[in-house]
Amino acid sequence: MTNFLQLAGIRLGATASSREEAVRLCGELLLSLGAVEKEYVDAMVERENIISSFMGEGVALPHGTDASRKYVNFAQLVLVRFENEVPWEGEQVRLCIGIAAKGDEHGELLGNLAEKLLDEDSYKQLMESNSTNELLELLNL
Amino acid sequence: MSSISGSKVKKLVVACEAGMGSSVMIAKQLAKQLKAQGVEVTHSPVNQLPDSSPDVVLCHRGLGERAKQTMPNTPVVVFDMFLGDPRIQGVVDAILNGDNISDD
Repeated sequence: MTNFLQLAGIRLGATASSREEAVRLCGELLLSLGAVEKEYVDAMVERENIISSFMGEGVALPHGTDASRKYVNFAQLVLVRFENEVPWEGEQVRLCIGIAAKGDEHGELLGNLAEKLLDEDSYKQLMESNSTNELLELLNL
Repeated sequence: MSSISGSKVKKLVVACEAGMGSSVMIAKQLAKQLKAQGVEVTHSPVNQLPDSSPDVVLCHRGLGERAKQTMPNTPVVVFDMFLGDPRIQGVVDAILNGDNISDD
């Protein structure tokens, strides 16, 4: 099956001083992979301002608006982990999963991600592992 | 206020702004938990909710008002946390036990 997450889409040790900077980092990574057009990056910031993509447990899932799906070339996820805690509307974020999708094709991977976030060992691995290979293996189906 | 018995719920829809992130994640988790009950769980942008004719709508508090405006006669349950919110678990439990589900 198609890989919705790839090694080049995992960035560890990033830094961002604001939510917008963090969201843009995710968007730029999706852009560099060719998954989206540059308009999508702005739509990710716009979506974040409508309603925060904070999930809990230091994790956010930034993505575009419904209208911005037309700027998605192919479904893709990126994982960006920050060295610092990024302030997120009163919350703190250490891990962003940036999402680009046309439809529901990435749903199974997101379901898998939810399970990993709720499992103590996998959560620790997501937050601490310095091996991009290990993280890819953990999340890909 | 709208309400429904958990035993009558056949379609649960998680509403969101874009239907790309958190709602997809929650819908996948709930679909797995409610599969044995034959409950269909999907997600939908809030303004397209009528298209999926849900028995119950789940959505983040920030979208609650818009969801209720769109679906005035359907119970809309709002939650605050995407991971491990007791209100989401409450809806699952009500469906499993046949308890009443209603708006706040």
